[in-house]
Amino acid sequence: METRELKKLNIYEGCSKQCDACESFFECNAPLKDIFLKRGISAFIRENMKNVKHKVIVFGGKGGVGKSMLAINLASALKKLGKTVCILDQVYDCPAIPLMLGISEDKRLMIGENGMLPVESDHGVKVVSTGLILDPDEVIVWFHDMKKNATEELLAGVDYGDIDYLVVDIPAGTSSETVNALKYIPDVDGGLVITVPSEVSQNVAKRCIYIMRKAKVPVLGVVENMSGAVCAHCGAPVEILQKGAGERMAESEGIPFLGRIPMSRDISVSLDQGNPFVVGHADSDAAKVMMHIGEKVIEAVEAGG
Amino acid sequence: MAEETKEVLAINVDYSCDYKCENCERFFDCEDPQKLKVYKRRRMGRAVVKMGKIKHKIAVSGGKGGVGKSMTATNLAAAFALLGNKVTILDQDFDGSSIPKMLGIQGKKKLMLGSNGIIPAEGILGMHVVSLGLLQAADEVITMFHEMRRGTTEEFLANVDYGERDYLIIDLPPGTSSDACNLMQYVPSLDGTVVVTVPPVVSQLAARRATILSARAGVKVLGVIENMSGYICGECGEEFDLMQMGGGEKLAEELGVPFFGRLPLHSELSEASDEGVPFVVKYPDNPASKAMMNVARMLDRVLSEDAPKE
Repeated sequence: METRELKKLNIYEGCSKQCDACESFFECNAPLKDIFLKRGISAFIRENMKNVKHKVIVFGGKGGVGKSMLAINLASALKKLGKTVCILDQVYDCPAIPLMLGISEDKRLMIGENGMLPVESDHGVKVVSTGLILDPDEVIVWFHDMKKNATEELLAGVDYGDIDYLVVDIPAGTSSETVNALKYIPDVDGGLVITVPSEVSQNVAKRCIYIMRKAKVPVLGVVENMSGAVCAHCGAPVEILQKGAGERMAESEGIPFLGRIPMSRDISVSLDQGNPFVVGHADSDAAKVMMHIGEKVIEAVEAGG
Repeated sequence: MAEETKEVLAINVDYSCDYKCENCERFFDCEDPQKLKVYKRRRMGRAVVKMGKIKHKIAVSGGKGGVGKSMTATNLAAAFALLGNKVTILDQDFDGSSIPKMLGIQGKKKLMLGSNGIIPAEGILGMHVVSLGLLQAADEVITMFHEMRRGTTEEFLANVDYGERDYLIIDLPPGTSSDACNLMQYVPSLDGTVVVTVPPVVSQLAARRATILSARAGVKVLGVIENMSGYICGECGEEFDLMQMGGGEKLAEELGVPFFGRLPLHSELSEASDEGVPFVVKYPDNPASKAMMNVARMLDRVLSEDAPKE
């Protein structure tokens, strides 16, 4: 049988002049795009978020690498450093931030005169999450348009007030939620990429860096999570997921490496209990690394402004 | 003066019915007979023919990311192949496909086009692989929204020359939206899903939702695997836990489905993944390999009992 190499799948469509639904938004140079950015929802969002000083997005690309863990601990670290912080949970299919911050199930998102009011955790970090609206057994099946609408609502319809930092948590992948966050959040100060030490994970982590470059958002640095542990029996250091591929990836992409967070039972338990480890285990190595990451973020973001 | 507030009950994003069933978020909840027409026309009719000679189709899902879905898919497929089956892996993870890397064929093998459609690439043990990763340049980022994802799923179901196979193992990305729905809507006669989860309580939030979605779509949950369940020290050989154990077993109990067992963490596992060899092949004596072979045997038995007798 005669065969030839398959170069592309036959699924691409031409320009429909609908920038809000376009997959190639960041690559496009059509003048239409400027009009889209200046009017309609983008303008509302800009106005609504004008008192949010800095916006930082937590990227991972791959799932389960610790994006939400980083988001809540970074927010708590920034709070400890004297900043006012709000977390925006852009994970719709399974929002975990409220549980990880120990927000009790009866606390719900309320709506006031100027829009939805973020819920405040015991540690003083504000949260906006669809987890504060949904029932625990409610399954979200949203395709692109619904996710986009939800993002627009949460950016234009929330009463953020005067805050120093908005930390945005986005789900795995590089499509809907990632593109929506990069497209609709005005003046993003930068993104952090969190990854795990194995080689195969960098495949996906790298793509986050590429998409940030496409969207012209600065990459603040790479964090390596689940980086080694200590045997509970003999005390020997163990490398569960190989070693150092996160750092090597940061180096080859020319991006600062901000530190590694070890894997430990304490961290896992702290997430289940809703007690961020920078607060609950302030003396642990992981907490020190996280405070360092917080300081680095402040340095990078506020020096530029 | 205190501001008057009300609870936010739902986000204002819903649409009404436009009879575009292929694009509907509520496909599984809907009882309108119109939706069944989707299966009969266009590419979906072709998928039934193209996939007609595959005996069993199993999707590996988890809802949550990074729990080991791709690792399970690769090794479950390899375990079936070791048991003498002809196996194809379909990688439904478009944004972050890792199956080609885990099988050591990334950048080495390509998808080819023959007279009967796309020809899967071949990996070790004669396993066939269909993955978008085989088409992607090293620095290419995939940004596909729902319609393009659906198009890709349709292409991979209706336009691949699958041939005669014993098992099709489908690897799903995290989440309960586009990809999970496209797959459950379109794969003709899916035998069921294997749910992979990790021990912490917070991870069951997502795993539960994935199983509820399966139930709504009428797809059977074949069983639950608890991955990263304990760690075996390379120095002293003792096992200890890095996350609180037992979440997976509890989930299986709650759902009333079989619990397939625990896969402990071991540095050999991620080493094998990085090297591009399934660990069941490279380290057959590792406890995780034995557990995985067991899962394959259990599935083999259950599915051949369930198969319609002719």
